[in-house]
Amino acid sequence: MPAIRSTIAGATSLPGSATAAAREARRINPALNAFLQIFEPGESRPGPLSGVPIAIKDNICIGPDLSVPGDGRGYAGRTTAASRMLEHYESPYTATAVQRLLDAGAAIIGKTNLDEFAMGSSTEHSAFGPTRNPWDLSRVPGGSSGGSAAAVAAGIVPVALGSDTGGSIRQPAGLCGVVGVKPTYGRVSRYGLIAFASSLDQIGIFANCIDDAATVLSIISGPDPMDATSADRLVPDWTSTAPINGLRIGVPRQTRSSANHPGVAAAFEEALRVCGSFGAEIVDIDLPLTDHGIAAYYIVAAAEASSNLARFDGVRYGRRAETRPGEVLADLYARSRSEGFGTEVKRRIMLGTHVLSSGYYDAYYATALQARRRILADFTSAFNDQGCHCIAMPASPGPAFRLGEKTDDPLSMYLEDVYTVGVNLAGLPALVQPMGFVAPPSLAGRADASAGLGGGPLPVGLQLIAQAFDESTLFRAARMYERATDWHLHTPPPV
Amino acid sequence: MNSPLTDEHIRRIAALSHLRISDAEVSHYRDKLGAIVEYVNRLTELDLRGVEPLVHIGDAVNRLRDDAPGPVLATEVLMRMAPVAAPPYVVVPKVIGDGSSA
Repeated sequence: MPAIRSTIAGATSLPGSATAAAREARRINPALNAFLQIFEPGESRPGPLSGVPIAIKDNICIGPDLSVPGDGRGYAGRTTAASRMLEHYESPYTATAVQRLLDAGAAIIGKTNLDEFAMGSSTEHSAFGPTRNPWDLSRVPGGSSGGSAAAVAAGIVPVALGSDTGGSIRQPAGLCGVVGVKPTYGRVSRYGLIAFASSLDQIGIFANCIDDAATVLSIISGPDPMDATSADRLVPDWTSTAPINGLRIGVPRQTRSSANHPGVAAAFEEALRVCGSFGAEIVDIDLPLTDHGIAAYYIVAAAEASSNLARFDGVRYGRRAETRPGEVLADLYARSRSEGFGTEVKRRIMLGTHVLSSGYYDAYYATALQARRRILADFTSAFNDQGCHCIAMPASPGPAFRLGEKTDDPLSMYLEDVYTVGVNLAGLPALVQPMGFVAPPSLAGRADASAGLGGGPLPVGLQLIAQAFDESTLFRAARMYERATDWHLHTPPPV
Repeated sequence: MNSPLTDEHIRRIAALSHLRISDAEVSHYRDKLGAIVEYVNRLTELDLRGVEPLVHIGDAVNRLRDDAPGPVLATEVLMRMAPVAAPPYVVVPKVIGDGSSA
């Protein structure tokens, strides 16, 4: 069991780290279900990440490297998106972000669990069972990248890749007490990421410290001819540790909301006090559409999902249902999709179909896109008119909730994302880092404690948001906070 | 529970989505989707007159590449992925029915 948090420096200094990580993953996985597959690491290439064990969210493709003839890495596993639809799918190609990790020497030790097609905020919508939070096994790790968050929090790997469409990296990072980075839209190639909502999706990183997140982001960032939306922008050196003089942090009035769990509210105010203690100036700002952002997000994301997931038809790859005599192609589509998709995915496809359907398009989709413009303008105003370097808010309104607590009420699950979706709609970079712990919300935890199911403190996360392509400011500000606190050094109880 | 969506509408969007849902599922989706639709209706509270819709973030422009062949996936690789194939074709049921089924 790890006594300290796993880091890249620790992994590169110890020969056999990747093999040890795979062994640890096998030992812990029956309790956590963080991994859908665990690989036996092979030889690593020399490079900045040589031998560093990394886990990959299972909606990111890994295949035999066909672009490099003779580069036989053997069986590359399946890419399932935690869906019955892709249960046996073996990708014929590798995502650019993963290829860049492999080229830097990383050892991919496994594929991590997620909400099916990344649709969810708890990892309970996986077709292969929920992931559990290492801090309290009766609670969710958040989602959709819950497997990656749990794998890093449990000390199995120092770094994992996730994807963030509406908070799917930041919310689980907060609930598991690790660092999570959602880069600017276009910063990291989406080639090989199974599409959920293409105008919002972005690959990002989980790590145990800001330095590791910055190091790995610099490796996977940059333009890619295979993704026309990847930005043709220079990737700056994010390892600079220089503090920001006169750091100005905007705090939206709307996030000091009574809807926050009191422990989250207290931890957030304390985090702002700490920022003040190292010289940051805290200024009030307004993001008036914070609540409406949820509505705009779920319209835009569902609309794009209904279109993106139309490709799963049982014909070219993925699950194919049996048809009855006399049935036609449309029956094959409908049967395959009905068998292959889980309930939440079907809900979102149908919601997307509804908002795009004739007679509803203007009322929903066009209106949501107008709200999206307004949300971007509000962020821009905080940076340009009020001179904020970054904006701070909690990662989510509460700590990790219990398994099953929100599965019957999709709307309450969607409200988990109130502080994260605006960032995706506006395409901005954001980072979450540990900002303390709160007591579990209910007394029931006490009974669980004796059963080994936690009941102890639960981590919560501080979110920082910066202007597009200004990850430098995020990392520098986050390092200032990290240096002033020791929340990132705490480890969950041994599993 | 009062849902803004009717059973008939749920059946219609399920069909448009190429999904088959049972009668029991119709009421599930009517209630759950209805609650979500009710929630997202709050967007109508906003005065968004004159605001240009934002379809896509970023400053990306259309990118052209040289019309030169690059690495591609081999047909055999793609055929192996198809659940039912008679290379170089994928096999599907009859495309056009007698009009009696969905």
